[in-house]
Amino acid sequence: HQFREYPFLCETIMIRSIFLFLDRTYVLQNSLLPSIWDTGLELFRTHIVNDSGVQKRTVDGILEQIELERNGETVDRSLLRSLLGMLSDLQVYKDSFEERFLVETNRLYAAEGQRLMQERDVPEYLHHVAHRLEEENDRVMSYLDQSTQKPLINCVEKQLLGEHMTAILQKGLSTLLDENRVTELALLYQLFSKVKGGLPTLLQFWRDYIKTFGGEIVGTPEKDKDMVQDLLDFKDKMDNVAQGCFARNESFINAMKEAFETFINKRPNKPAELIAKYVDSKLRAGNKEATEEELERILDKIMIIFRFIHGKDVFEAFYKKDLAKRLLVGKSASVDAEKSMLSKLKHECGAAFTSKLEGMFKDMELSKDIMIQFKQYTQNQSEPSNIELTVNILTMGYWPSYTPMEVHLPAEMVKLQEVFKLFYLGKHSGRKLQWQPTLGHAVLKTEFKEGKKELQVSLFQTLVLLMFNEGEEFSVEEIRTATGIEEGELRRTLQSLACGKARVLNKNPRGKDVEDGDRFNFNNDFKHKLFRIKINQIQMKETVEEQVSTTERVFQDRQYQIDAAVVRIMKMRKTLSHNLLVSELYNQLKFPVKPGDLKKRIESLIDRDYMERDKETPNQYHYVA
Amino acid sequence: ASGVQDNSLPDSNPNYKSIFFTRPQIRGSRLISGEKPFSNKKCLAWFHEYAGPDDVVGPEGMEKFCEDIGVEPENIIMLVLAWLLEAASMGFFTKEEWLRGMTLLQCDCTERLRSKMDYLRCELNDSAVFKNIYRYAFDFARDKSQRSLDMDTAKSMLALLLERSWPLFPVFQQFLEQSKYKGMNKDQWYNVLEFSRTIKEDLSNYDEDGAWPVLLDEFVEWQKARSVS
Repeated sequence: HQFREYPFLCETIMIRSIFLFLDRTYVLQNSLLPSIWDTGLELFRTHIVNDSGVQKRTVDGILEQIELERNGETVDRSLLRSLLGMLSDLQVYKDSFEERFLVETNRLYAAEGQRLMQERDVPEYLHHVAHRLEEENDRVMSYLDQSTQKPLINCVEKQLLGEHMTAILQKGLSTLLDENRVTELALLYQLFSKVKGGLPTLLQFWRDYIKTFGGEIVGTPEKDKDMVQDLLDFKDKMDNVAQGCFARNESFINAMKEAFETFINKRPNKPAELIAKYVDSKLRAGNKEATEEELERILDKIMIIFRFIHGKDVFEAFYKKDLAKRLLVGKSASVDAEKSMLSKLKHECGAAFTSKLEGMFKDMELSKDIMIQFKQYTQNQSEPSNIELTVNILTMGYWPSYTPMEVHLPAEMVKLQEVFKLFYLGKHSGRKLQWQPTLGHAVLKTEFKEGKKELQVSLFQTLVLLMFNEGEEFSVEEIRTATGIEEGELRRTLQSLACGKARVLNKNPRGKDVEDGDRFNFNNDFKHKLFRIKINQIQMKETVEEQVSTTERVFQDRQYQIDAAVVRIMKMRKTLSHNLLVSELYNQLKFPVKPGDLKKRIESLIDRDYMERDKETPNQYHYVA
Repeated sequence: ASGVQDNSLPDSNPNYKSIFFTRPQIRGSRLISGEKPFSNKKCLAWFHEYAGPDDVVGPEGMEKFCEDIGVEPENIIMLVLAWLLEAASMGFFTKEEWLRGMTLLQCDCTERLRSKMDYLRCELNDSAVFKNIYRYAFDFARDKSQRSLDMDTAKSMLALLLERSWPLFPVFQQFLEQSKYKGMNKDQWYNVLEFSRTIKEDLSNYDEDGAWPVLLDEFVEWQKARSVS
């Protein structure tokens, strides 16, 4: 017998001590007789504890004490422990006490759950639940029988959590996530993992939250300029929650991925475009915010977002356009970072995806070699030019397509171009060289009153500035005739020279915009603290056109790809039902496409006699050789 | 010569596979005993009545021909006749077409052809034959320099062919009126008949994921949106 401190027990021990001899000899030898101890307990149980009046008052009293304690008052725990121990020893604990106790508990927490769900906000409520659970566990340790723990805790969890799962999540999950309350989130996860169906419900709400929140990031055109940064931050935050609060639960991590993939593709094309531009902003020179390692980390994170994108061809088109700019203007921050990004893309999308991008890098390297050879070549020429020429040879097809623009170059430049052409075609006969004036840039030496300066400008700016070697003042119209630069381009060029930060030309009359009839002269009083000054070409609305045309080119390309895939499949299968053809197409095509668009391509191929519809079964197609 | 004449047909055209409709077959064209047998010579003379010295019956001759046989030019019977003659273009019968077709019909004069009118009308009731005539109509009515049927022609041909049998025809016509489509290609044309035959008037059995041309997807979508509002 475990020793319990209640008076009756002491009395019984006393009686047993007095009748020790009787108990050890006679009673022990006679197996039919119960021991003194047992007899004592039996008599006590029958006549006292099982007396309905006594029992009721005892249990009522115990329950009252427990309720008082639950309400925060201090009670005599050792008394409770003694009484409950006694009931246990007398084997009436379950029937006389535990049953009623659990009913009471159930009632109490059902009411408390209802009330507090109304009164408190979710974090407070969660802390309260945790606190209650702790208290009840402590109660078991202190004075309840161990066997009560399981039903007791189940009861509390059910009434405070199980009954309110949806309400808790509806009311509180988005706030917890919005405010990044990691402590409460961890608690939430820990509590929900104890309730039946808790984690699946939490998982559902988690997925929905990500879709809604992410959908807003992606689906708000006014916030496009922050979209990618917002996506990265959001992903970081959700990763943290999944790792730190949700115990790296695999299903939560997968649900997050799935949710990202869903919302990011809700808006077609734009996220892919913006990711490409974001990468450009990071890889461009002048981005001093990141060290090499930080840059590498950012690129890794970008790749995670990029992985979710369905139309990767849109990304490629914009990435390529920006990469071209970086390479040609020498604006790339770091060759290593460029190469690293390229290898990440290759790893993610395969070699076919990056072959053209790699071609661009190769072109740049070959161009360097060619320029070394060209220098040697020109040194041996009879009349050395006073212009230094650098040429990048771009292979058509690798680079974005540029609309050729005819301009009038000064005779000296034309001559130099001819020299280069002769040199290059002498080495590679049969090739065709096409000059791209839009991509050219130059460094001009000039002298103002203040002193000598070097101006770093575009080819168009160069053409305009060189005119002022020949005359004092020119009108817009004169400049246009002399240079042959296209109207809109010319206005932007003049604006950059006369209305921008570094005004090397004066515009007459003054004003922000270039109007017909404006006249320009050389600003001899120009001052600048630097020796070499970069005058930025004004880069405006043109990017909208550029953006539209790049996107259109991607779409055009997709049509060809669909046509090619249809023909490839039909050639192999000869005869195929519409549904099978469509599902094969979805397997092969790597960009998102609507069934209606596929049908249009199929119809076009039927119309062009690449395939035909079965005469009797209209949803069956035949390949036409 | 008397008695029943064997009406077995010449063998199928060897080019059969390259044309999209089935060669017309003449059924029940028995001659009534006592009538004169068909004469090639007479048939040729009959042809020249309309063609004059040319080798083709042109618009004027066609008008007179229609008048003589008592059929309006825009009557569907003329389409059936053209199909039987395998006429390549609307408004013309060449000498070859005439001689081959009229031989098949065993007609060498206006009266004999008039007596076949009921038979021609009956052909339209056979759904397989109707399908062939319908498909034939596309190439027949098409401007031969175009791959597609221009929309006005398409609409009047559809009216001729489907107005009586397809309850949704007026709705479909309305749809075409407001649509941006300028013409109808062969695939769309073929599928309209299929659609008119298989899709219920309330469109309930239309499968948007099926192989129907986008034109018909759009029609269904348009009609459903209309009936909701």
